[in-house]
Amino acid sequence: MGSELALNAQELVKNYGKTRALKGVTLEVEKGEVFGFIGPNGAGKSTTIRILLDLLRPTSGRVEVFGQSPRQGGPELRSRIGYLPGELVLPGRRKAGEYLYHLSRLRKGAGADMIEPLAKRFTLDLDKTIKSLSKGNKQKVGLVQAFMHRPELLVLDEPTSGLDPLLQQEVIAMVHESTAQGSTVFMSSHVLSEVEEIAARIGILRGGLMLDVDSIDELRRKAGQVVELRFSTPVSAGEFSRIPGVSEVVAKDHKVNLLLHGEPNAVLKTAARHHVTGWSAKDRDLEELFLDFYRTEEVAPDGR
Amino acid sequence: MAVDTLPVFAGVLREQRRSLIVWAGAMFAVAAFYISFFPSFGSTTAMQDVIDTMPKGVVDALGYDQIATAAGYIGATVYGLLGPVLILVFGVSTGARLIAGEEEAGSLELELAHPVGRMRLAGERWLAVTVGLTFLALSVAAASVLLIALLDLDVELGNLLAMTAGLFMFGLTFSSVAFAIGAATGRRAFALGGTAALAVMGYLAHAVGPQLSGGAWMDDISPFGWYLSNDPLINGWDFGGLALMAAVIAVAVPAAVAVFARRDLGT
Repeated sequence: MGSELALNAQELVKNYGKTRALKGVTLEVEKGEVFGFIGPNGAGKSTTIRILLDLLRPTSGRVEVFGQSPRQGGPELRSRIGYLPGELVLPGRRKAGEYLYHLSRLRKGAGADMIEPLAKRFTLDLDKTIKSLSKGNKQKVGLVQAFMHRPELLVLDEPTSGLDPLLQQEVIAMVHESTAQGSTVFMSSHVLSEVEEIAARIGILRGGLMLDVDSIDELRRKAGQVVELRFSTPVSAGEFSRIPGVSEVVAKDHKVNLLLHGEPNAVLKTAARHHVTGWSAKDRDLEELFLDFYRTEEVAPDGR
Repeated sequence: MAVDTLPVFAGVLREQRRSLIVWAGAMFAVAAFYISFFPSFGSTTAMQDVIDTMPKGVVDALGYDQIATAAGYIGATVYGLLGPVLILVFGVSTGARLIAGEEEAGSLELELAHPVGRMRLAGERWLAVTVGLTFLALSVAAASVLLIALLDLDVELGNLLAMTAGLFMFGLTFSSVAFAIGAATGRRAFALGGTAALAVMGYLAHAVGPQLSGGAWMDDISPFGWYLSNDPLINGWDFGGLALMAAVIAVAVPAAVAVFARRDLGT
């Protein structure tokens, strides 16, 4: 049980009545890491996150934030966390600025000095009542309160939803700044591309189970490459489909398309027996791999 | 200041201040309006003549047996009818909203994700209900004092204070029950429905129970009885009644807050 872990969940189970929302989620996030928590809606991302904030209590399993259970850590532990809820609900009648100062008072004033600068950075009008704000502007209120006290751990549930691309980039920049100061970031999304840019490691959750935890590089490797080879004469698919690590071989006329996992050596040698007139190999879109995970009913394919 | 030491409490009051001012103004106006009618018919024999034609049971149920005196009139109308009804509406709806209502709406989540314990959050929110009810009870008292002075009515101010304390505790009892049901279950509908049912039963136990043979005890278990049956405006402080209401609050609120601290926050 290293103190180097910011988050440590072991076999986390959560039941709501008879429905089992989490079926044994295990995940470890090191201090200073940016961890992307990915899964379709209803996979249990928000349930996991709300357990970290002690809003929900796990049915069984162990969970620790900075070595303490959220329950025992209580307010003191939460003072070290900044949280952006997935479904942000703010009191409509209050003014954005007034509400943000209220929230900072719940933190004994921490972050009050950052409200104005952050609002300026996000171009958020603090004098407007919350109900008069657009969805994106409400999200800005949520982002300001999550970042303002420079927390050691940022828990962001779908942070960029409802934001335009420019603001998405701003959020990504803020996440980078936070990690540069030593913060840990745990962010969820139902779209991989949102976290691909910033997260070093990614956990994929589906149906209350962690399907896979990997570095982005490892995921890319698993995703494989789409290879296209062109020949001067027609070539049969059989030659290539025998090669280990090669799948989805399609031979048509003078062209062979295949999906390659691992080294290209054997493919190139096989191709070189013929007259190769052209070739291309590009990384498969991670989003496609992600969809593979979603589609598979059983535990994830190993990509081979 | 409270803003720093009790931030949750201060936040709720800030959010409520407009509606609280409107409520207090309305209750002040209703009380003043009612009392201003007393000289024109309450003190004349005409009123007593009408009362004499009514069955005794009805007169007792309405608390009109002393209606011809200023203290009896104010006790039966302002403090016996409109005061409790209005304070119930405010108290129960506020009590049900401050945890269960905001929990269902989702606005409690962000506050609880901050460094505030569940007990503390619930305690400060309950305190906000208490202060709101104090404000309303005092606005009724202020209207009464003003009109009693203007019309030179024969009401002892000490008794008015006792009656006001009763009104406040009566409101706080039902408000706390609504708050407690809401805190324990997270359901605003349960809090509103459960408390409304209790209030209706309490009213029947007070107004109808004693008319039934062998039903005198029913008034003794009703908050309406604890508040009204000893006519504090005529007889002064009813510490027994106040203590019973305090006991209900002292049991319901901590028990419910303990459940709230242990359960999952609803989405």
